Amino acid sequence: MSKTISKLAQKSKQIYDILNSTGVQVALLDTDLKVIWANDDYLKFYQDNVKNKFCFEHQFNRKQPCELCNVKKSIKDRQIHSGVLFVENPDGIKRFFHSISIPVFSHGKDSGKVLELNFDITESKILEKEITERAQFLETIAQDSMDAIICMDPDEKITFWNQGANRMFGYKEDEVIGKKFNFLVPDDKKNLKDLEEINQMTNEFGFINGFETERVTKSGTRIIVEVTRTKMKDEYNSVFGTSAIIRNITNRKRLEIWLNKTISGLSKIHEIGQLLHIRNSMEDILKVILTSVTAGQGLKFNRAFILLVDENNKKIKGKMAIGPDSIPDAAEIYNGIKKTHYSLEYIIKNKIYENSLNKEVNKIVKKLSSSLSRKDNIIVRSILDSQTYIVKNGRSGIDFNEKVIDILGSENFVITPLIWMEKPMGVLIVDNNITKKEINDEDIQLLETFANQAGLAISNAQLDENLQQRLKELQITYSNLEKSQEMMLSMEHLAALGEVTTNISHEIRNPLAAIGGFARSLSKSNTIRDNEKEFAEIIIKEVLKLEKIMNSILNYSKIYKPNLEKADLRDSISHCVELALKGIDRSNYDINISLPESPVILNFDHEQITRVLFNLIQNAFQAMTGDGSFNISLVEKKNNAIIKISDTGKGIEKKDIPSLFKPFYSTKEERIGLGLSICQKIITNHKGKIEVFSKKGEGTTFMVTIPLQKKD
Amino acid sequence: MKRILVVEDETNLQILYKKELEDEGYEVIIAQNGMEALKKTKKQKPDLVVMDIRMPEKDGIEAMGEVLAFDKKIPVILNTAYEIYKDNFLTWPAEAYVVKSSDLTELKDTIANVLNKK
Repeated sequence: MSKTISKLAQKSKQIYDILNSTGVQVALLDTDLKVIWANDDYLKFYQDNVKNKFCFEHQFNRKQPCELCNVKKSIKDRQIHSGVLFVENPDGIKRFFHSISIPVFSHGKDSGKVLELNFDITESKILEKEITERAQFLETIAQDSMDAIICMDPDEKITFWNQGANRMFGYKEDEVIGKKFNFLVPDDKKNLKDLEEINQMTNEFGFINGFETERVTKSGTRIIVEVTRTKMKDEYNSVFGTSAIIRNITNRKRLEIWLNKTISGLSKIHEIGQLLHIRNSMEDILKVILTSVTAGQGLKFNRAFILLVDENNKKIKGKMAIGPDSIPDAAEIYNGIKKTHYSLEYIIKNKIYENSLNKEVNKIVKKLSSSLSRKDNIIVRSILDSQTYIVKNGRSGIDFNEKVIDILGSENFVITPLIWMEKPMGVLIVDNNITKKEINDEDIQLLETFANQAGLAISNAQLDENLQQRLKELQITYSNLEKSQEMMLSMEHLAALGEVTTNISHEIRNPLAAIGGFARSLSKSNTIRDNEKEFAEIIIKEVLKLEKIMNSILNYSKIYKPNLEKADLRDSISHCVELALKGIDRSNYDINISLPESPVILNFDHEQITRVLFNLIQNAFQAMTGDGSFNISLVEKKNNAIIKISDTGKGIEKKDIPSLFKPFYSTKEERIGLGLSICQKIITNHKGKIEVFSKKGEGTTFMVTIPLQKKD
Repeated sequence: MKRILVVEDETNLQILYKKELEDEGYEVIIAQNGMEALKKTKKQKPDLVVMDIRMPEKDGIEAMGEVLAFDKKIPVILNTAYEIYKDNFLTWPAEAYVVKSSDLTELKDTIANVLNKK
């Protein structure tokens, strides 16, 4: 018996040891939930003799049993139950326990008692909490990301849709979960390689990074995106779907496009700039500027106007403009140019825009001229303030006189000053009156950059123009000088001639008078023989001839100032022709006299002019030697009386023409050559001129031009 | 018979004038130059003086002045190769101005006219 008892005691001890060595808190509770027995772990944790005490008191510091207590359940239904306990001991140590309650049967008989086994699960609970928190953290990151994060199952049905995706595409999570993702792909991209490529690369490498494509939002807006797609694998390395991180790069792309445009704009301006600097006449420069501003290959404005500052008159003057007058006109120009893609340089070099320079716009630009004192004129303000003014719907940042809108016929335009070295040279006005395209910031920026180049070019052209002007003035001065020198020489020549001739002729006159006188004396003599008388008469004749020559030389050196009288030039001509034709057999010649019907009244010396005409008419008949056609005409033209005397005579050698009017120059052997030089002197005294047109063998025309006095 | 003083420095012309005027029925005295002209005027009191202008020592204009200062009633005909003196107002006191020519008709006519007026 004792052996049995001791065996039992031994067994009981063994069980007790086992119970104490498991690390599990074990307690036996009666039907009132009082602790009958507890193992060391239990006792140690609660630091108290808990025997015969209600478990809820020391475990939860309660007066009543817990409602969901699994022990209570087991007492009631005699089944095994479990639950989770969270308890705090007197030291404040908090633990999670997995509690299992087991009804105790003894020898097949229900004892009514329950064994409570509490497994400490604190560590795993903490781990679980951490895992949950981490998951939540990740979820928050995923949800709140600015990028859209989407997960899909192997059928590409959406399983995850974050807030970023919501914001980016406008769909809420519940609208998209379970749907195939391709509703986000724009229609025109659905059948393209785009998707295939993404899939292929994702399959091959397990991911695709930074793939650029387009997607469409709920509202239908297309956005440019960068897609990173990754295969999602579980711990057994089997694929359960893909994730996609989608970044909206539309703005970045726009910036890129803008930058590209700006760069291409700048290079355009560089191109234009080079074109500008190879030209230097002001007109060419203005044409290049206007063409560059309006051509499709340039800045693409519809119309452009240039006004330049006139410093002398304190004005801004409309210079030149380009642009169509109407839509049909625009279409014509556009079609003409569009057919071939010309470069800007080609357009300018081949003057393709030139014809549009004659249009209405050039009248408009002239009307835009204004005094620089008109401060209410927005064009003047642009100059004075050195600032670009944008007029939009008839309004601008400053108040201005709206007349300019009426003149331009446009409520939307931009005025930018053409400045060089802080000096405003003028303004450039542009608009899109045909296409109505809004002028944006980029356009204005390019325009301003261009305006600087244009300012430089205009300043160069002005300098050049001034230089050219100076050069021209210099050339004129030089040629005047040359002329004066020539004239001086000629005058000196004439003066010297006058002096010499007077002296010589006088010196000759005395001996001539003696020779001739004695010859006459002899011829009258009674004693002279007949043949001697004949010789004496020859002497008399020759002396007379010599005296005549002396007289004409003396006459040349003293052609008096014309004695001007108002008269009808037609009368002088008729009179003169009659006089000159006296000794001529008219039947041999075809003679035409053409005079205007109305009088040609001017101030002239009748006698002197008659002398000139007589001389010229005589020359004409002498040149024809026997027969030919003679024409004399008078016309009034541009305040001049023009007399033309032509013959069909032998003409004058080209080399002789320049010397024709020189004194003592004659092609006729027997003449002393003062006739034409006297004629010229007379006509010059009348402030007119004599010109000669002649061809050897065909004839000669003398043209006498005498200015008419202004009719008053 | 009217007495004409011809003032002329050219010997050949002196001979010509003397012969031609004598043929016309005048008494002709010759003075070589301006100095002689005044002397002969004073001495021989001519009815008319034919005066050359360009002469050595004293020109005809000055000599005419002296002749007229002596007797302003003596008519002086300036007989010269130069037309230019016509514009010189010093020649205006002369009765007439004749440009020398081989044809003496003008001179003879002028002399006759002047003497008839006298």
